[in-house]
Amino acid sequence: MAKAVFAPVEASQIQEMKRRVGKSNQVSKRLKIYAYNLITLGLFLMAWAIIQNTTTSSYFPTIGGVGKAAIELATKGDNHGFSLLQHAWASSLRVLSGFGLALVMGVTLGLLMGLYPSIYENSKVIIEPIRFIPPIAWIPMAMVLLRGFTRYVFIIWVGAFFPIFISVLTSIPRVETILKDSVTVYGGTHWDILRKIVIPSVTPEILAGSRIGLGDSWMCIVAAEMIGGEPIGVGRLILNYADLLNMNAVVVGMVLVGVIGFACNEVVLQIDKRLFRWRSQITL
Amino acid sequence: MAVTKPKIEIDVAHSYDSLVVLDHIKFDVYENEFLCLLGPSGCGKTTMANLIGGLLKPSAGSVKLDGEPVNPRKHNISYVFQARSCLPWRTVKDNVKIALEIKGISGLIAEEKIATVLQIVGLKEFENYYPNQISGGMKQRVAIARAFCVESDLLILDEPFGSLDAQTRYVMQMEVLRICEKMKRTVIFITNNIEESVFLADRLIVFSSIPARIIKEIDVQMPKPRSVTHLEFLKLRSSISNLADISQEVAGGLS
Repeated sequence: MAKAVFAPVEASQIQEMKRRVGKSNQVSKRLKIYAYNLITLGLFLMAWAIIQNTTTSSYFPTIGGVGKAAIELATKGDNHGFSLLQHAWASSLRVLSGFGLALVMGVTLGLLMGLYPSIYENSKVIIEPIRFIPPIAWIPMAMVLLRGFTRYVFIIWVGAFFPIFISVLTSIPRVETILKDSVTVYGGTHWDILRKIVIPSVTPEILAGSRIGLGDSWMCIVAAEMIGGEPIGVGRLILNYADLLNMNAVVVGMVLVGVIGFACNEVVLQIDKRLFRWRSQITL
Repeated sequence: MAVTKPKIEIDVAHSYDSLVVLDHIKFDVYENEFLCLLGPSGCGKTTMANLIGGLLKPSAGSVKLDGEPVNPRKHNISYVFQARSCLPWRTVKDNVKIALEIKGISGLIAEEKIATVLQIVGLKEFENYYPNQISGGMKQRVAIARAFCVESDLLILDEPFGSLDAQTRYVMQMEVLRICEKMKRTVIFITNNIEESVFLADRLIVFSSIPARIIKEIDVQMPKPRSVTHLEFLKLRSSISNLADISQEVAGGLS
């Protein structure tokens, strides 16, 4: 094989290499990922099947049972007459409203306090302790003092605000001085620096904070709906069937949250990818 | 020459907290002059550049440009930073454009200026690349292109070629000379490289190690472009490296 090691590069190989340049193999790469994910899903279902067949508990959710419950909930609705879609929509609307509010406020306040650290330093005594109060601890207050939709929006806001706020706040001191200087030296104003340097610099952090905030939002909504009085919402659905010891339907609710969360995360990731093409690196 | 009014009058001292960086530094720069500030690394050259560029307020004294205290909003200053100053989220072209945006120049005029300057620094084919996709030397050329695409009263280059390989460095030095010849700029070029300073400068100011003082001022009379192997060039070069402070710095570095 020693001969092969020293073999000169064939002209045809170079042709082939040049032909490939510029043509991405993104599609086949993505298909491969889909295929592997399908296999992973298959393995998971197999493990589930093994456990459901060996367990002695009659409450254990089965694949078939969950599937049947899902179809029933989707078509006929639950024991209060609300369909799966209505539950999902109600919860999603609450999450998106609370999250949207948290995003706007988190970015605005994060920028403000990042640019004027004295505001944060001088109000730390309130901000930091509140940050450590779990959103769930706010539920009783929200139940008593607020009505309907607003109580959920409030809980989600509490949960999603801090991850976004903190990531913006802490990323501002890391904006490189030299980039700000390169605007200043050409006569740029503070407004130019904010617009052209600070905001683009912290946008990746905003996205990262948003992904965490979004995850926390779903955690909060399920807890809030379990305690809140409204008959609609995924959390309420889960609790309803938990009371009936119907684990198959409970799992349907859980999967629903998981799938919606997964979809939201993918959307944020896609935005991230589109917005930050500049981060892809080729070493030249 | 004796009656020419200086373009820039520098008379400053600067310290950070307890560290004195610039002892008393006083010199003038004349219109269309290519001035090199030469000094060992860490002697406060970048601090000097930031003071001249108006990015930093001196602890004492002042920097005057055309008789007024320097102010980037009032004066047109171009600055090539020592470190990478490319905005990673902008393409090569848009990185050059930012200087024009700030100056309020847009449209066809801006496009033309950018195209010209990208041609000069040899980045025309890379105009749509992002900084992460090009080499270190190319990034530095982006910064140079940005500095050259705006009309400026003063061009400051702070060790602009420190990160370039010898070959590119030489090409860029020639380019800077050529562009300055053509566009008539007042240039302050900062370097720790003796050869580079002798190659480029009309006048050369040698700084001591920290806290920086001026230890020598040299008018370089040789015509440009200069040959690095010319006898006069070598003589001047060795006379600078023999200056007490610089050789001390080298000796200190070796021990």
